[in-house]
Amino acid sequence: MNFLNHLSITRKQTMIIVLTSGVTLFLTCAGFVMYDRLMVRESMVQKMHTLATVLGNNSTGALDFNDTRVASEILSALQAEPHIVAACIYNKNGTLFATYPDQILRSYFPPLDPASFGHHFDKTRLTLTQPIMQQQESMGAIYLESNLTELSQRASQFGTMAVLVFLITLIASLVMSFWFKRLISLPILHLVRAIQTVSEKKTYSVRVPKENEDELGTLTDNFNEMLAQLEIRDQALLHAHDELEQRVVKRTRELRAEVAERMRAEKIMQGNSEQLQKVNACLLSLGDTHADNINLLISLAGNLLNASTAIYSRLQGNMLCVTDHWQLPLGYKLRDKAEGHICQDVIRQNSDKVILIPNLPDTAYAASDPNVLGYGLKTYMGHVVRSEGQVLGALCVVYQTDTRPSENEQRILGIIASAIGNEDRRKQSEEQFRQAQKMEAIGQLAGGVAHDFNNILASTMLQLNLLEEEPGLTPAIQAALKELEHDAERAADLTRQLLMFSQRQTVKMISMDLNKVQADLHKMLSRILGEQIELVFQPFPHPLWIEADAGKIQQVVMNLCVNARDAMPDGGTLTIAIHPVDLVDIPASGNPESRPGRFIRLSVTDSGCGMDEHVMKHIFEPFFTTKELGRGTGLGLSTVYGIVRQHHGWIEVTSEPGKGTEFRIFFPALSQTPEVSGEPHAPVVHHGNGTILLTEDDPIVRKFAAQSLRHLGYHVFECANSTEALTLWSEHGQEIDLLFSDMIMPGGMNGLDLAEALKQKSPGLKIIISSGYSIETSRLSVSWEDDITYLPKPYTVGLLATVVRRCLEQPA
Amino acid sequence: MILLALGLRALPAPPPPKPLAEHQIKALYLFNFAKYVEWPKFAFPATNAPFIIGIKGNPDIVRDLSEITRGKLLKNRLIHIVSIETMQDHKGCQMIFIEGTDFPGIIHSLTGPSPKPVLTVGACDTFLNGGGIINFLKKDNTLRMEINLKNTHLAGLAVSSKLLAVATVKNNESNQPPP
Repeated sequence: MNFLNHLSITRKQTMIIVLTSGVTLFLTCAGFVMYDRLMVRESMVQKMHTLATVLGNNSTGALDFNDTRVASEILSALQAEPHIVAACIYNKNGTLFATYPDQILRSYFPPLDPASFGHHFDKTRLTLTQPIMQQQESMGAIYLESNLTELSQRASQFGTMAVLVFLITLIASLVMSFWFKRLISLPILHLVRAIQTVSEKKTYSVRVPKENEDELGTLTDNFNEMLAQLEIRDQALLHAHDELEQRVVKRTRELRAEVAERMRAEKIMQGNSEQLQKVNACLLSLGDTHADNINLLISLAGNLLNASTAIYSRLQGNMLCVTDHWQLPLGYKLRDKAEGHICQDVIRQNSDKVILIPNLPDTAYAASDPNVLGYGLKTYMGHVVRSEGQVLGALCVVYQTDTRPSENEQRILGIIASAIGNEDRRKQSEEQFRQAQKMEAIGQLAGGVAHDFNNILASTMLQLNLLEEEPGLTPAIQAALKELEHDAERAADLTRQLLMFSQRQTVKMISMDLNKVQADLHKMLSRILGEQIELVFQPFPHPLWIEADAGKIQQVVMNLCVNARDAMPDGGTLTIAIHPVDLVDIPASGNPESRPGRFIRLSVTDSGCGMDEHVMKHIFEPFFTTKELGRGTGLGLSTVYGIVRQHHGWIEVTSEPGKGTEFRIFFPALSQTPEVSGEPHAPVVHHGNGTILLTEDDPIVRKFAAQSLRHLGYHVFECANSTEALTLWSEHGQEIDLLFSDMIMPGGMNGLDLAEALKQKSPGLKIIISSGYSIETSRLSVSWEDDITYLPKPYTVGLLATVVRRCLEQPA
Repeated sequence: MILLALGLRALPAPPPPKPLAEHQIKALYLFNFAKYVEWPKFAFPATNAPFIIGIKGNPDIVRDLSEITRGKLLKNRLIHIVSIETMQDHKGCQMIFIEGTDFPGIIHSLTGPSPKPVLTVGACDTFLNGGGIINFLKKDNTLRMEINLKNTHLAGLAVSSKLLAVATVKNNESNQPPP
């Protein structure tokens, strides 16, 4: 079978089909011939047997009556059977009785031998000998001899037929082989050819034709798919290879350019290093004085860049202009307004790149910027000044000649612009820090003073209240007491304002529409401002919600309006405007407390005398006033400052002497429209009964507070600190209904600590905390908020009575 | 079987048979006639009645026939051979052989308005015309037979074609065979 290994698949297939069909056919024919031969022989024997039986039966009469003639006649019937070549009948004795054909010799026939009964085949004939029986009696025997012509003829016919069938089958198998070739070997040959093409030509674009839908069809599809993927990858590889080649070429070109550039830069750097050293030396020499530092930096820019003019423009407000070889003239003042259209464009573009504009007279700037023609400027170069991402202004350099500044010069401009930004920011930070520290210190001082004042005023007012009720007072004394009481209340009012500035006054935050508060004040403001001043109120058409103490906000507006009125003695216009603002970036010149977010801006603008810079620096300080003695306390704007800070807002002021002032107050806007809360109820004065534990370290306040409470009908235990209070509680705790305690007390346990301790012992205990400061809300836990009543000092007997009664009436 | 065949082949060839006498041949033929002739059932008085062959005029044949039929059956019946001496002797016979010309009396008793199913065999030229059924005659020194089919039918007997094949068929009116 090894020879098959070297044959092509087509030949193998043809050979297999032909051999298989040939062998199958041969075996089938052989089997059929054998079977047929056997059947023919059997048939011949059967036929001979039948003939012998018939002839024998017919011969019985002849045998019985010894009539050979009749027997011969019977045998002569065999003429109808040409294959019978000889026949004879033996009688009972075995003697030859009759023969066929007539001319045959009797010796031709063998003697009768009962042992030879039956049929016998030899090469050329078939002989049959069988007895002739009649009623189970042997009458003799008959012998028949047949040639095998039929057999050989049949064999010959079969042979011819077999050869024909074999030839037809061979042709049919060859045809089938050709057909099968299309089914089986052809797809394989296609695959082989495709693989050879791929292998020899290294191309994956060939495809194998699909012949049928069987497994070979699937194989063809998969092979084509594989070729397609390989082709894609091959193309991708080629593409990548080309791209890599291009990149290598490009990179080589770039490297060459870089090398050339570096060589050129090194040459330039040799010249530039001196300039950079100067920049470095200048930066190191900067001192504490802002204006000097700015001048130094601008002069350096002018010197290094060899410019004829340099301008440092701030974003808002001032503008610095330096000429004459960059020496700031003695006494030079910053201009009030920025000038120069080009500077503004640089600021607006807000780019980190240097803006270079040649041929200035030919550009639109010649018409829009007076400096261009005024100074005969030809070339402009500018860089934005920025600090911490905030645009402060622009450093601009102009030339009166057509100049093309080098990249290094542009870079130097950027470095100096950056240094100016840092310097400006440093100055602002220092000023704000100083201002904040000053305000904090003043606030602490004012708060401390107010606390002591309140204690004094509390005892004074309580004492005055008690004195007024004494019997037998003369009208003059009563009038004097009233006057004293009035003075005490004025003092208390001042103290309250001080506390408000120091942000120690309690604020009751509610959600409110800023428009509505201003509308509430409109009538009162008109009365205060008088007829000479026109009040313009510009509310926003929609509610603007903030979280604020409505009373405090009214006070802010009132104070600002009073100041505005005083700034407009000859009349003018006062505008109150409310508007929402969304701050994305922190404004450059804004308050340090400003921050991004949504705010409601309340602006109060007057057309009055305005303020200079010196005044503006001090307006929020307590007791700073520009008014005549006795016209103002100097606490109006301080109060505004404190209230705005307590509302987490800030104030911006713009003022120009002779033109007016604008206060802009920013309150954080509520992100969601709140539910409208009801107005707080006014307190109701009541006498009452019950036992009160009064804890107060100030003996005078304690004395008059106890006296007032007893006067109102309450039983009072007095103690000077928390330790005494706890001792007293251990004895009379069951009797005590209410703890009335000062907030700040010596001994390490303040009023809240005491309240907490006693609350644990008697959860139903009512608590009032009183303080000269506002309540220290930071010490209150949330759970206590509803359980504690706050009473600020100083307080009148009436207020004390109301608070105590309401507290006692609250459910436990 | 092979040994038997070899044994047979080893035996010496049998001697040629001795030719039979005429009376022997006749006796044999008479016996053979009964094989080729069919009798009606009523020819026998009972189902187990013997087949009776009557012989008249030839005692040799009586002897030969008795010899031939000894121990044999005809039509599954025992065979009786009787010698007919008187007119009464032939009654009850199914076959009667009459030697010579003395047959009319017997033939007459068997034919008539109610013919009897009896095969009558004779050896006389006028036997068939006289009402007999089979007649022996000598031809080329060989004993042959002739049959009268009409008489056969009248007697209610049926003759096999095998017997007809070896005999000469004749009718009463002529000696020509029927068409």
